[in-house]
Amino acid sequence: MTQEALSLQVKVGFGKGVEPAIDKDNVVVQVAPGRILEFARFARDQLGFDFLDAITAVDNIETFELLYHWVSIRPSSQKEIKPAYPGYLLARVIVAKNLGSAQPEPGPDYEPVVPSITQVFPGANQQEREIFDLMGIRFKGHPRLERILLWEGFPGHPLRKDWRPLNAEIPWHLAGMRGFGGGTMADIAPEAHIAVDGSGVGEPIVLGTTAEAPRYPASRPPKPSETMRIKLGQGGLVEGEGPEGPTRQPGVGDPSQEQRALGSDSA
Amino acid sequence: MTQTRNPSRLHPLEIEKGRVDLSLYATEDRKDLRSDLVKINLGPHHPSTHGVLHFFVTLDGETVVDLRVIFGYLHRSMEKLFEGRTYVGNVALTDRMDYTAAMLNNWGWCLCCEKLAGLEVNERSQCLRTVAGELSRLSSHLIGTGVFGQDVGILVTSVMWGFNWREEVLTVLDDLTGARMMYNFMRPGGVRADTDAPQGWSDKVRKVMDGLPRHIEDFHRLMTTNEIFHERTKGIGILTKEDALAYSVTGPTLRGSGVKYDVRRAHPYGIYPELDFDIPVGELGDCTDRYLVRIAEMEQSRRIILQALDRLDATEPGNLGKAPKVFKPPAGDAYAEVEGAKGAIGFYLKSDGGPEPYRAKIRSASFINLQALPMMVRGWKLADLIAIFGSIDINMGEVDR
Amino acid sequence: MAIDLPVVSPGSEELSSTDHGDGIQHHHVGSTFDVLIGPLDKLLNWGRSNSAWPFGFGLCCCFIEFISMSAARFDIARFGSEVIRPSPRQCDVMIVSGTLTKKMTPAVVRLFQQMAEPRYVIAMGNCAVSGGIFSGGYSQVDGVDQVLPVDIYLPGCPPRPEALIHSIIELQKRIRTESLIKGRRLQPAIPPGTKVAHPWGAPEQVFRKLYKRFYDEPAEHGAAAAPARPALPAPAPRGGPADPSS
Repeated sequence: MTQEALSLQVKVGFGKGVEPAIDKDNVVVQVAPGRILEFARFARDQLGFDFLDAITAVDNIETFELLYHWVSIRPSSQKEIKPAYPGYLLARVIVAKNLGSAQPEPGPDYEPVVPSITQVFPGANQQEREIFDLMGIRFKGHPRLERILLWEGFPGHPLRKDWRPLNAEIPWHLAGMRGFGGGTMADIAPEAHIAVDGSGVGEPIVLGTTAEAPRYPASRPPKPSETMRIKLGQGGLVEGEGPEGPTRQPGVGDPSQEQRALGSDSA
Repeated sequence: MTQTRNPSRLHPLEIEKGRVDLSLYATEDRKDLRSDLVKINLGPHHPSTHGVLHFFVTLDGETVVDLRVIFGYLHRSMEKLFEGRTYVGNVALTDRMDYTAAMLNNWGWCLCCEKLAGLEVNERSQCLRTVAGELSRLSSHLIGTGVFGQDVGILVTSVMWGFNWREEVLTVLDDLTGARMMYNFMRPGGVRADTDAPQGWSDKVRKVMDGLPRHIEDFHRLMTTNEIFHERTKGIGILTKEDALAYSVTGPTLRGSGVKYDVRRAHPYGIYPELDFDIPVGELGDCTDRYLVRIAEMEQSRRIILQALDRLDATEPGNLGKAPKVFKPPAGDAYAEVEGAKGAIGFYLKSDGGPEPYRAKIRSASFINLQALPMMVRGWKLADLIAIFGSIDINMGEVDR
Repeated sequence: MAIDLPVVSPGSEELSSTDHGDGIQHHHVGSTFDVLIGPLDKLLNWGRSNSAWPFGFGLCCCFIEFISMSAARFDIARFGSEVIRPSPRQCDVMIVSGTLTKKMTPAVVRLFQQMAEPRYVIAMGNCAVSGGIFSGGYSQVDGVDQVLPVDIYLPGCPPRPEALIHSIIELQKRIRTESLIKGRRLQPAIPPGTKVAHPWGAPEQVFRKLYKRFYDEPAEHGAAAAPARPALPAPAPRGGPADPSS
């Protein structure tokens, strides 16, 4: 099959404003996000592209771009080594960043929604999960859309161009030294990141492993916990300088602070 | 809660002694007699999971009802790191993907860079790439076959044999590149500038290749004709053609199911179109077929290496072409694939004209092959799960990247 | 009765002096207790140093070289470390071979805690030493010494098997300087009593949630019927599968 024949087949068969283009040895089709499932079925059943090679997601600042590469193998022909079409069939899907978003406000979890093609190509399963994990595009109709490489609770989607590591990243691996004893981690209030047994007097520990990293993701204001500094040996927490300046400077004799240090809830 | 027992799991002596009234079970609603399901955890540290892979298995007796695969324990943020380093510097990162066949990852990256910038590679560099890449494939298949033998019960003999022969392959790669595993050898537009084959290298490779058929014969004696191996793998974990294609499986796993798809033939690159080699395929798609395809691919790799060595000797030493030191492709994007040891390794690169890629995506073979596993093991025994998983031959560095 | 121990004794100064961190070498006057325990130290150290069983625990690329080291060509059996155990309860040395990621850390720490004392850690490879080539990424720990007390640092990417053998020999030298009375352990990197929580949710909590969800969710008898296994043909002849094209 030649490239021209394939483009014509796409144009006639799929129709409705689709303009296939020829790029090197590929045939590139621009597909609207809502029609990608329809196009996947069309490519498999009508065009004979029975093998989904790869799904790629690119963050183009204003929009996301999804690229689907298909190959035509057709296993019926044992003697044929060359596929029916030598190149790739490539569907480009431009996804607006606010497309059917799960969150109404722009933010780190601002995730557009695109139909999943797993019901046509089961091989898309893990690739779509990976894109959700690292790029933050949701796939509607996916059987199990969860984080796959990172863990639940990881902030944001690291392959996005505006993603930044949190400044408040505590050297969390210190937590590992506490072992797996029950309840020690869960009992600690989020403010009391470090509670020393009273013996330590030293330099203030700035929370954050990378000093030069931006303080917070550009798209949202910092939480108090991200700007917090802790001074050891003073019996309390020292709020750092957020954008609105130092908010509270608890002294040694601050009663509320003492209560918090003692862990009493009744005030 | 009353426990019901499946009569098929009764001890024969119990039946013989009349301790159990079989008429209790010999009813038509026997299908309702079921044991409770058992959930077990396997990994992320387990000797049979080939690295840091994690299984949640739901069992009915000994039969696998459901399998959930959890990974990411080796996710090293490679795609993000690509964006901060130059194209040439990233070659070293690609080494660490499929670390048993690092040369083929280099090749995939460099091929994509060349496609992006329209670079040509000269004859000697191509021959060196072919020889080194196929040696890498040999090394990976020797490990994969040896470890598969361990999974089905040969204990460590096959592993030791595979690693021992791999040392011979590594010796010649060490002579060429100075490293045993992480070669950092290829460059967009050729190979590393200071690296040409040392004198007498091709004869040394030929000598190693002469010993290979004997090693393959040893594998057949140890494994293929062994009755226990046969019983553990024949007819186990069948992956049909249709399923293999639907789940985007590539590499020896796909060819074991009888689909004659090899990127070296389907999307030719390098000097492969001019070389004479076959693509072995299986028939049934069971564990034996996948194992035999790997063995047969080693023989084909040997054929390729011998042909490429002849062409290498015909070229002028030292003429490695011009691999640009500062590689700055024009804005645009490209996608290229090579046939890796585990399957098709693809790279997508998008350039904005700068010295670093704007976006680099890896299509890794192991990651995609792995997703067929839950479907393949359903209904088999727990011991078969290990055999089937071993026959897919994945590499955690490539799964998690 | 005199016991003749076939062990090279390290410098006697190392055995009889302690550095308390104040820059002064505190020399011990030989007491009766020392005299009694000294030969026992030698005996124990001789046994321990020549049978350091490594933990068969691999993270990444370096583990391939670890296996190479135990295979025929390099043959770690010459140095007494050939018994590679898959269970942490039976091991002495944990060779952290490869990149440690944040997701894997709780499991690694737990495995280390399950090992019996005395236990040793070799950080194998640049990733385990300092993060190596992946330093700066979002998902890995830059250096395993942030979570485990490391005895030997072994750089290389990956280190060759000879280098790994060398690191084990260095570890043996270190074991031979140990003393029952003075102890040998490095202090843990984190002072005891430190409580740290992670703003993202510590991965070990994530672990706990993961397990809980798996064990809590109702399991159903799905299509558990074993697939029909086709009749077995005769064992394949030697020489691999038939290639239909050839």
